[in-house]
This record gives sequence, C-alpha cells and structure tokens, in this order.
Amino acid sequence: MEPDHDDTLVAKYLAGEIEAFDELLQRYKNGLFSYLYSMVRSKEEAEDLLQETFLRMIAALPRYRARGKFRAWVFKIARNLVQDRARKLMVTGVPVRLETSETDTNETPYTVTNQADDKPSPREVAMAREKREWIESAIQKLPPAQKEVFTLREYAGMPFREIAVVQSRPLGTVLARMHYALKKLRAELQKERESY
Amino acid sequence: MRCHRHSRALPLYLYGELTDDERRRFENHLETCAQCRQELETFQGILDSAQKQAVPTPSERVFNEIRSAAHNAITDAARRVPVPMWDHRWDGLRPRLVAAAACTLLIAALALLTSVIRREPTQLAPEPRVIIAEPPTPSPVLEDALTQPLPTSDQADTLMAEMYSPTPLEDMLAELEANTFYLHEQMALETAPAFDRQVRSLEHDVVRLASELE
Repeated sequence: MEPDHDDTLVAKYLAGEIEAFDELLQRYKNGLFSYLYSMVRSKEEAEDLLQETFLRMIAALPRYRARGKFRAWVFKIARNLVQDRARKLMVTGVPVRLETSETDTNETPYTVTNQADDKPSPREVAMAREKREWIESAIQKLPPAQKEVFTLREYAGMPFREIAVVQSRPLGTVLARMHYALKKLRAELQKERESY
Repeated sequence: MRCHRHSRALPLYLYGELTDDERRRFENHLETCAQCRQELETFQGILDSAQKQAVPTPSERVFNEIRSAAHNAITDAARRVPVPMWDHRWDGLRPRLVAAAACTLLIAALALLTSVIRREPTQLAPEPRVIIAEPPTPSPVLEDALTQPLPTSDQADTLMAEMYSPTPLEDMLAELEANTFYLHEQMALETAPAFDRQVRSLEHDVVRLASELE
C-alpha cells in the first residue's frame, strides 16, 4: 500500500486521528534530530530544540496550507529556532558548545549509514573512528550557511531544491554553497594528511 | 583551472538529483574532463566518511512529551466545537416561553404608548438631531481587488512557483556570491594582491545587486 502523503497525514491528524501524527513524528524525528545535533553539537540542546520544533509545528498546523512542502516547512521552523538560539548566545555571550561531551557519545548512537555485514578489525574500527572525528571537526569549521546546506543534504536527506526553499535562496546559491563546503572539507583533509 | 560550467551539476550528480538527460550529459563531460573526474572521486570519499557521523539517540521522554502535546492539542480543538444554544431536552418548553416573551413585549409597548399620550405636547423632549455620516467610499484599488475573482488553486500554485524560481538578478547574485567564496578561498591559500582587488570588486557588485533586489 502506498504510504500517505505528508499533507494527507496533516489533514487526518487535524480531523482527530492521533496515529497520523505518530507517522509524521516517525518520518521526521531522525532527520530533524540529525540536523539539530549537527548544528548545536549538544544532545540536550538538540533534544530541547527538537521538542520545541514539534510544539511549534503542532500549534501552527491548523494554519498550514497543504502545498506538498511539509518537510521544508518543518525544517524552516527548526532552522528559525537554531538561529534564535545563535542570536541569544551572541547577546548573552555564553560560548557555543562545539565539542561532543562524554555523555553524548556514551549513549547508543545510531549511524546514518548502512551497517556492513562483515565485522571490521579493531584497527579498521580505530581508523574509521579517527576519520569520523576528523570529518566532524572539519564540518564544524565550515561557514554557517555552507554547514547548513551540507547537514540538511547529508544528514537530513533533503533534496537541494527543498534546501533552497528552507534557506530562501536560489538553487544556484545552494549548489554553490555545497560545492564550496566539499572543497573546504577536501582542503582540510589535505592539511590533515600533510601533518602526518 | 576550475571547471566552471559543471561545478553546480557535481553536487546534484553526487546525490542522484539530475534528470536522466542531465546525468547522461554530465557523464559524457566526465569522460573528457579529468579535473571533474578527480573532484568527483575526492568528494565521494569525503561523503562516504561523513555518512558515518555518529548521532546520539534522543531520549524517549522527548517523544512522549511531543505525543502528549499533539494529543492534547487535538482534544482541545475537538472540545472547542460550538455547543448548540438550545438544548433539545427543553424542546417542549419552547412555544410557551416564546408566548410569554411576546406577552411581556406587548404589555411593555402598551405602557410606553399610554405614558406618551398622557404627556403635554410641550413636555415632549425635542427630537434629537441625528447626523448620519456619509459612508467612506472605498479606494479604486480596493474596489478593484474586491471585484477580482479569487485565484484558483492552480493559479496560486503557479504564483508560488514563480516566487520560488530565481530571477535573473538573483541568479547573478548567486553566481557572484559563489565566485566571491571561491576567491576568498584562493586568498587564504595564496595572498595575491590581484585576488584582493578582484574580491573587492565582486563584493561591491554583490552589495549593489543585493540593494537592487531589495
């Protein structure tokens, strides 16, 4: 059976079917959390922002106009919250926590990739971990707009055309940002190799 | 040398977002452009490593709170459905109440009429002057807007699509923004005065175009 379209689920929820909301939550919780976590690098803050995103979404749903752009709409809410948080941090001067804390990594993480069937050797595990840590720190060094495009495409699985809607920018700008994000990551990789 | 023509197609190709025709054309280009081939290979390697980013699992408490908020919102909305003014249990009483109200009104009207007739004509209060203000005439723009038929859903979708598609000026701005990023990057690698001048001139263009857009 064909899964319900997002707009159909919204209509069903507004008509009183709570199961339709569960389906929407199921569809977007991982993508939204990956995006929020990549932007704030703190599990607690990402959880708070995720909760706030859904609460705002619930409050705004009666005014939502079904145009087949539900995902972009929800991510726009999340993006506004991330920007509000950044503004507050600029005013209060509280430093942004860029590093993952111990408690963040101790909990069972899920990886945004397919698990291979054959088990890697301890050396391979260590190398993969090192590479992962390197790439995570390199992503944090990207300019905010490029980091956002990279995160939305790579971790939230959002097509570039929708990212253009979320960022209110032409598609060309979004593609240029992704291209420069990748080039910057490549330059960081080269620096890393040269340092060994 | 940088392959300008295909730098935008590269991210779309990496994520399988090109149409079949575009993908064929880009693959034909890859056969002849070593630089794009190399770039594609490096970017693919970066994305393979990036995919393994570990994201902690959000606690179940968060989802429970979200579900409970969604449940409360929809229950509250159902409760706010307007209740009928008249409860059907009192249906039998309605004609009697209507009759009683009519009698009361009739008696009140008679009492008023009697008191007016008994008064001397001089005691009557002067008739108040009623000034009826001219209703404001709607502006021609508003009148036009009110008489125009509402756009159909198809027309609204077309309007939205037009809003989202970049204008030539926006496209130019994106191109300039991209070039400025590129030059900034080059400056970081090799600080050449020529680049500096180029960046300044491009930045000037970006500011000018942005203000024109606004």
